[in-house]
Amino acid sequence: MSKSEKKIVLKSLDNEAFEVEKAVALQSQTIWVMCEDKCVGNEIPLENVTGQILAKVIDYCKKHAVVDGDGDESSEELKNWDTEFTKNMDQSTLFNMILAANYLNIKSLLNLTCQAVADKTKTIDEFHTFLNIENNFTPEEEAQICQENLWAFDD
Amino acid sequence: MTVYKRAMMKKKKNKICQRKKKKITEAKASNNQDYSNLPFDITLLIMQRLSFKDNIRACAVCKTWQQACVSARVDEYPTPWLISFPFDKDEYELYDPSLDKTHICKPTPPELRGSYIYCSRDGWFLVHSRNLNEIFFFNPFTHERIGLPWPDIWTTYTHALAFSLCTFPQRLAFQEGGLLIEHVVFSNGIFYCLTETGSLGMFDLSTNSWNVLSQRPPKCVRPNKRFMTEYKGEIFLIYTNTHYLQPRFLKIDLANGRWTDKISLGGLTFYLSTTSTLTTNRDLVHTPQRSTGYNVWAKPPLNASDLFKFQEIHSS
Repeated sequence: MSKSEKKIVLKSLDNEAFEVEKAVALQSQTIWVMCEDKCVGNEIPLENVTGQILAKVIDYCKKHAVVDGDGDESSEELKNWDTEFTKNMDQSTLFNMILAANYLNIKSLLNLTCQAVADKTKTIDEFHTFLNIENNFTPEEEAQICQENLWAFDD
Repeated sequence: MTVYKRAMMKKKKNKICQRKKKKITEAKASNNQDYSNLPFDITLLIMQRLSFKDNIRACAVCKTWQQACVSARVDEYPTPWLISFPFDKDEYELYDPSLDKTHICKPTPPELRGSYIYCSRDGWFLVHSRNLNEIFFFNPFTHERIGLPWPDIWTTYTHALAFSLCTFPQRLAFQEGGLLIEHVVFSNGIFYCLTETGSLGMFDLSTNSWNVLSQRPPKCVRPNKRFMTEYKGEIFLIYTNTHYLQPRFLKIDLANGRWTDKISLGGLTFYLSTTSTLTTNRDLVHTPQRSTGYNVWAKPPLNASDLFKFQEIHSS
């Protein structure tokens, strides 16, 4: 296999191109299927992902491609890296990362980002403000939910 | 108390309404994405990762989330059914507490006639039939039967048996002779065996080794009862009493090797009977008193209601 065949170019929605090792890109089941079916050349257009998000996804895949080959010893380190990775993401980035992980079909990244959302939000306040969700209950409906499960809203 | 709570609710309601207004203006100002627009499958993935308490809270966020929270809860926390065997009748009852409905299974299949149920786990019983002189797994909902590779295990010796379905690919039974064992609970790869004298043996399957908890729990004075149960790796000991007082709850504190009663139960519900204990995370269950015969809790299969509709048509 020549050197160029080991590399693959991923092109974002806003036409940013990223050259990555094939092993890195193939963690995405979507890309893996595309390559397997030989329906793309060496350049893969990803129409649902912006360059800013794609860069982060590639960071994640690079880290995991390297460590997976290393064996068990570094799994603790990898876990820490994962935590750091999502720790400082704002909700908009996290939101787009979830969509990207879903579209690219990278299970571990989808799990990681969903877990991050679950971990970050603990009160209704946070659900509404951090996740930017509109409350579409009537006040009566909302009061009823709270009333039924008072213990959960105690603090 | 109720008046106080209502006042608190009103306060919260106002706060929430204010928040709502604030939120909408914020949304207009920024260009952020709305998490309620995530595909439902992904919302479900997030909800499955919330603790039960957060799941309940997330219900109040918006309608899509409420739907996702409820689906996540139904999958994880189905209400167990109570299976009762009256002493004087050739039938058994399956009681669904969530619908407050009882199904009668008549006549009792030969597998359960004159049998003793040692364990109930994930909808299956571990049954010792004296008539057939055999030990096997039996499903009280579908009447399926799975034999054990050593059906005559009982004739050798044992005082307690437990089995696990969910963690291991192979169904597994476990035996321990010698001490009189009051309760056996399997959780997270470990069998917890409480002896009548109160010592707790822990058998770890991964290391194939025993550990004994140094501290003993308080004595249980008859006619009161105690039950051991597990939820997600935590082991609880529950003391009930005959005087309708609050039960007492203890939990293992493995780090310090002792039982502790400084615990918060959150929304845990305990389903207790002498032969089986199940713990789930949901609220509001009313269980009628059943005193004749003996009762076993069992997790119903997801299609339980269809199964029994079918049977009712045929039996009438």
